[in-house]
Amino acid sequence: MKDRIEKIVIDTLLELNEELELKSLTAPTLKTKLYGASSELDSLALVSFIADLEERVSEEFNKDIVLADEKAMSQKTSPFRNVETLSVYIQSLLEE
Amino acid sequence: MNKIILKRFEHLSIEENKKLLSIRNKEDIRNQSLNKSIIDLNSHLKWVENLKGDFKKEYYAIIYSGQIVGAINFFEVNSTMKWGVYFKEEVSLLVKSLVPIYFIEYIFKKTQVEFLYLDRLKNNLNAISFDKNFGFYFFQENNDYFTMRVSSKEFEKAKEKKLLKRVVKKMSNYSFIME
Repeated sequence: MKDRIEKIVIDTLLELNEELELKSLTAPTLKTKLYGASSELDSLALVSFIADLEERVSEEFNKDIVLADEKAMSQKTSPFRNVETLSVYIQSLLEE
Repeated sequence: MNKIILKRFEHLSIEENKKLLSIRNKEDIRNQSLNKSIIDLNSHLKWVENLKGDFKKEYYAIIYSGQIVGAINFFEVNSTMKWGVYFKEEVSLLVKSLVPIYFIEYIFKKTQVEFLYLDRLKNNLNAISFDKNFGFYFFQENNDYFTMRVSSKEFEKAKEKKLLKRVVKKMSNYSFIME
């Protein structure tokens, strides 16, 4: 499950970057920053990415999950720090 | 349904004005503003008093979950319509994204202007990137800030792009009330 989730996150990021054309996102890895001081993604792009990801994960695993909720989006230690933390967060939601 | 209230400064109580100013005067917000000085309550209240009956500017506190979380505005200056917004740092990214979309739509509808402008400090790269998602582009370079603008058509076009479309879709979970 972990590998599938990571692949979806990276594929979604690559598709987002077709619009953004950010150098830092041309070859994303688990450590690629998504949001925070050292990330190039602005808050709107992150919300868009998360919304797309929700749909893809729900389709792949046949289970509706909500990533863009108030709890996750207002956490100081955000699950959206990098690809890895986001993947772990998605897995925890799928296993609930 | 999540409720977002935009309440005119003129309708805020003294306590609400104090809360609003406590956000506006935070260092992180002042650092991103053209006017970096701390605003005291008396000056603020006098300025709010002058807003009454001025149809070329509207200033709103953003209230979410019963709390003031920021402010948003538009105003006419030198025959151009400008807008601005600020939020408490810890506010949900969703709210930070949805309120500007709603409000830019409102400005174009209300004022019927062809172009909407904003001023952005040159070093605020994340905000500039945020603005570009709405179709804003550099219009004029000043000493330490850029003036950016977007037309209503360009804004509508930006909303049709995948990036913004996915965010706009999230608006159906929120209701906006203007008071």
